[in-house]
Amino acid sequence: MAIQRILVPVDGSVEASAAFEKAMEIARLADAEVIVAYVMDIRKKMSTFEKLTGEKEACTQDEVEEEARPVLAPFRKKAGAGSRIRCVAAAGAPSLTITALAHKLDVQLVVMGNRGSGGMKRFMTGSVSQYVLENAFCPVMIVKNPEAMKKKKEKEEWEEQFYPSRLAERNGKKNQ
Amino acid sequence: MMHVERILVPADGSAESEAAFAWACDLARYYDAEITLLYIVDTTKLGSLGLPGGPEKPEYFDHEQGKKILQTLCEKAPEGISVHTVTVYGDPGPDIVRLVDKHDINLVVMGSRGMGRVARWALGSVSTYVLHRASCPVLTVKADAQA
Repeated sequence: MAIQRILVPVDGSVEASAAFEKAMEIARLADAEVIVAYVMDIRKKMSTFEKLTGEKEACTQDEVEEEARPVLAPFRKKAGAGSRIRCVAAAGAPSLTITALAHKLDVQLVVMGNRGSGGMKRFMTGSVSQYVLENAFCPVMIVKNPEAMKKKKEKEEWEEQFYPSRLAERNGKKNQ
Repeated sequence: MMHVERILVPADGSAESEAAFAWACDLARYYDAEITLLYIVDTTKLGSLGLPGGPEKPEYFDHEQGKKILQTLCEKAPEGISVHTVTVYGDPGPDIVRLVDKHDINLVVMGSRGMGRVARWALGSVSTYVLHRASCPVLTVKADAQA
């Protein structure tokens, strides 16, 4: 099947940048378009009353564009020769909006980081990634943060020292 | 950014893993990568043979079933893509993660669910485990994904 559009949700985190790089890799090989999307989380901005009555619109399109611009700017610059990049800004609950975007834009693939800039700082899958993974109709690729992977390997090596059989190996590594 | 040279596709005969393999073939064609098709005989279920929730027949632990599954998948692979088949005995999740590290796999493509009985969760237990622990990107594919 031809991969024509790849959605990359970004939020300014390192993981999102790593996901973008991966998506560009695939897009170059498959001659696909990369759609970079920033979703502004408006849940904090709406008071409970506004959420219930839906009277006041949480924000205007201009406000969304305003907040999205600094986040999307580095990706806009990377649109070089031969690679097609589109930037999209939306507002809403991130999980739901990203999934809705994936369906509305009819993408064949979503590439995103395992976690973003919010929440727990551990090597886990964030709630937004988890939601999109489970609910998007298209395949979703989760890209890990390269530094986090390195730290994880180092942590595993540290924990290995509690296993006596690995003691010699650890000593060998420590002497390096 | 590292290029993808080795793709790992764990397969268990489910429709999801078939869709995952189809996607892996597409990606392998773009990247000119080689695919390792992996079947894992789940030895953690050895204790529950015959019990409710566990496998009914001892053939479950035979790699013959695995070989058949891998073979049918291999036949569906398009021309020009190199596919290696491997059968491993062990615990699916941890073994996949271990193999990723051991063979420096650049990408795992797997079904979102497998042959497990609990259909309630969108993401199966092995897929969840690999997603969290693998040190490479993981692509999860659902059964109805067009390829």
